[in-house]
This record gives sequence, C-alpha cells and structure tokens, in this order.
Amino acid sequence: MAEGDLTLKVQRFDPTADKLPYWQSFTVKPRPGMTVLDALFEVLNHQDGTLSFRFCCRAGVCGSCAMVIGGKVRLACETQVAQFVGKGDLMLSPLPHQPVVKDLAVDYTHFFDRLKKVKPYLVGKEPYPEKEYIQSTKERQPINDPIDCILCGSCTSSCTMAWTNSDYLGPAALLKSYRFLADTRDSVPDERLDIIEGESGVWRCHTQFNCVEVCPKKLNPTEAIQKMKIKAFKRKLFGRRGTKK
Amino acid sequence: MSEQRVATSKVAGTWAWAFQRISAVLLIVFLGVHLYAAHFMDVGAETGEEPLITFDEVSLRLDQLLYIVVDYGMLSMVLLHGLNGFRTVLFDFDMFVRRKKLIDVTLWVVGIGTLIWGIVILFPFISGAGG
Amino acid sequence: MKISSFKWLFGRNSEFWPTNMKTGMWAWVGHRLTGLALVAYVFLHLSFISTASMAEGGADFDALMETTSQPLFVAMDFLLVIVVIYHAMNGLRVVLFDLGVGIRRQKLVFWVTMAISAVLIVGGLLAIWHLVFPEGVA
Repeated sequence: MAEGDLTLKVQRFDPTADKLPYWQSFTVKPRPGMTVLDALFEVLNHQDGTLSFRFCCRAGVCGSCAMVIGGKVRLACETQVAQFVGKGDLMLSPLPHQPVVKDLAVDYTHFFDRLKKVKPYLVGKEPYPEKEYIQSTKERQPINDPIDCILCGSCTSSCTMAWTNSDYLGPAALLKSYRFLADTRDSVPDERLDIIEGESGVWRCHTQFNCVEVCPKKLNPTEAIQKMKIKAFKRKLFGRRGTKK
Repeated sequence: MSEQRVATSKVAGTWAWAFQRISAVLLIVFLGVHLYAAHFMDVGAETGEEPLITFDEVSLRLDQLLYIVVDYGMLSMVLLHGLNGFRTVLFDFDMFVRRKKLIDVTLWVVGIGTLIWGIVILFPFISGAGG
Repeated sequence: MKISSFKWLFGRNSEFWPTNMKTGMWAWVGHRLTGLALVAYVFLHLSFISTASMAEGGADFDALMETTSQPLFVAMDFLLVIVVIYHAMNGLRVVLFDLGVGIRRQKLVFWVTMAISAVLIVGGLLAIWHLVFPEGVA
C-alpha cells in the first residue's frame, strides 16, 4: 500500500451463500474529486467483479446509493474520499436494520410499504381547475423543504424506533405525510391525520434527531413530525373543524 | 408486511403523549415540595440527629392535609408517568406491540395495585404520633 | 435476509457505537436508561416506606432510616439526584420540542439544559452536604 492510498473495508454478505456478513478490504488510489461511489466502481472494475451496490444518477438526486460510510449514513455519490485518507480504514456497510439483498444493496420493500400507508400523493380539491392549482409564494413556503426528499431511506434506517417497531411509519413517510398536510392544494387533511395519529404514527417519535443528522438533503423530519403532533393534538382537543383550512 | 395495518390504537396515543408531558411538569413541582418537606422543613419534632428522617417527624408533617395531598398526588403522578413511560418503551418493540392488550391490562393492574398499596402504607404515619 | 447479530448491529459502523452517536441519540439513550432506573426506584422507595406499618410506632422505619444514613446510601442518594435532574431537564427539553421551541437548534438546547443540570447537581451535592454535616465540618 502506497502513501495516500485508502483502504476500504466493505461489509460483504451473500444471503444465498453466507451465514453472517464479513469484512473485506480493498485498497484504492484516491484521485482528486473521487467520491466513495467512484471508489466502489474502481473496486468493481479492477479488483472484484462480484461486489454489489446500488446506484443510479451519481449526482445525489435518485437516493439509491445511501449506505453507512465511516459510521454515518450518507450518499456514496456525494461523499468525497479525500476526507477519509490517512484516518485509517474506511468502513462501508449497507443501510442499517434493513434486509440485505447482497453486500451493500438493501431491500427497500418495507420502506416503500411504510410510505404507501400515508397516501403519498396529492388529493385535489373539487372543482378541479382546468390547468393547474394556483399557489402563492407564501402558500408554497412550508413545503419548500419537505418536497426535496429523495426517498433514499437514510432517515428511516437510522431511526431506532423504526428499526424495532415495524409498524412505525418512520421519518421518511411522516415527512411525506407532512408535505401533503401542509400543502394548500390537498383536500384530505383529516384523513392524513387519521393515519399518522395512531400509536405507531407520530407518537413513536422520541425526538432522537438521528434522521436530521443523516439526511443528505439537510431536511428536518423531526420538525415535521413535531408539527404534526401539535396538529393531531389540537384536533383531539377542538374537534375536526380545528384543522380545516 | 404489506398489509395496511397502520395504527395500533387511535385513542391512547394522543392522550398518553399529552398526559406524559403534563405529568412531567407537575412532577417537577411535586418533587421540589416533596424533597423540601422530607429533608429541610422543620416540623418541630425531636429528631435527635439532624439529617435523619424519623417516624414521628413524618407523622407530624402528615397531620397537615396539604402534605397528604402532595404525597398522594405525587404518588399517582409518579405511577402514571413511570408506567406510561415504561409502556412507551415496550411499544417501541414489535414483540410487545403484538401483545398490546395484555400489556395495557397488566400495567393498569400494576398501577392501581401500587397506588392502593402506596395509599395504605402511609396510614401508620397519618394515624400515628401526631394526633 | 435481515442481519441480526450483535456484532453487526452494535459494531464499529453502527449508530450505537459511541463515536457515531450524536447529541440527540445520547440524550435519548440517557433519558431511556434513567427513566427505567427511576421506575425501579419508585418501587424500592415505596417498599422502604412500607416498613412503617410493620411495628407499632414505626420502630422498623426508624431503624431503616438509621441504616440509610450510612455513607454508602448517601452516595447512592447523590447518584439518584444526578439521575433525577438529568431526566427532568432532558424531559423539559423534549417538552420544549413538543411545544415547537428550538427544534432547529436541538444541540444548543441540549447543552443549555445540560449546563442547567450541572448547576442543579452541584446544588444537590451542597444540599446533601449540608444535611449530613449541618454544623459545617469542613
């Protein structure tokens, strides 16, 4: 290993062949501007063709390459390797507490099941407009942030409550719910609150802030969940009319 | 996992959460009064060594209705807050969510049982030396 | 297949490894542990008080209180003070978040509440000191 090289310690696991995962080391030579995803390609192309990881856009938009990089969940395509050179081995493992398909690729089925529960789509108001719903800048402001979610699964994977309670909707689904709840064009806020106000909805959040720490888009799911807690509680106190816009 | 099972309970969640916050704030106040009354307040009893809490001292204090209310109020708040918190911890785990009804009933029984026990064990102080 | 082995769930690269845990996670872990400890303490506390009904005039209670004024128990009392103050102050922080205060500055809120806790703990130590040595030994 030459000076300035980086050793990647990758968690390898093939469910059809291995009983337990194991670490495998690869050495790559960092180039300027090299991302962790680039380093993984270096390994895949020149050292071990059996390494599996998920990727798509390579630009931090698709949310496919989220993994644990050096103890923190990040997007491989947005993380520069230069910051890890000279600090020991760089450990790479798949998203925590998710079923592993192979090596660094995890099964997102449960994650998307959770998302489906919160009706992640706009239910329009009648009468439907001919062209589009008109929104003022002020009306659009609350959803400016939550609309940026790329569904990479980082937050829900790093939330311990979402890990141990499979009913819990998790930060990503709750942020999505908030995104439509705060949307002035949406017409079913009561229905959305019904879904999220159960014990496995917002009340499972114990403000751990892991989701805020890991979000690659710097979103704040905890704040969204807290706002929904207040909305749900106000509705409980003052009845359904309290939440009507 | 794809079944559309969303909420375990729509009733308990909101109130359990709200009550946990309200009882938390009340407990801080109760705790202050409780600690002051038990350790620092002078009730005029012959207590011998100063830091010692004695039966007579507690009896004298509990002659006043205020401190009976504070002690019993604190007891009920502590039980509600503690067991409700414990319930929250349990329901963070799948294996306990599946036995939700059993756990709810058990915690109510434990809570009410302990409340009665706690009320009874103060009787000797209340009917004791003070008179 | 879900990987559920201690080494992989709590190892170097997991969110439970101490250097990987951030403020919010530490606060949550501490809150949970102290909470469970305090529930256990309540039952211990009640069982101590229940000795009052054992003998006429509370002789057993007085004897038990005599025992608990030993240095070891006083040290444990101080531990209890730390646990209670941490749980109360971090609980206050959680209540603030529920009221919508300071969510964006959660780390600052944590350190402020911890600073207040530290002051209160020192106050608790002084109070216990004053109880044990009322004449002012030092």
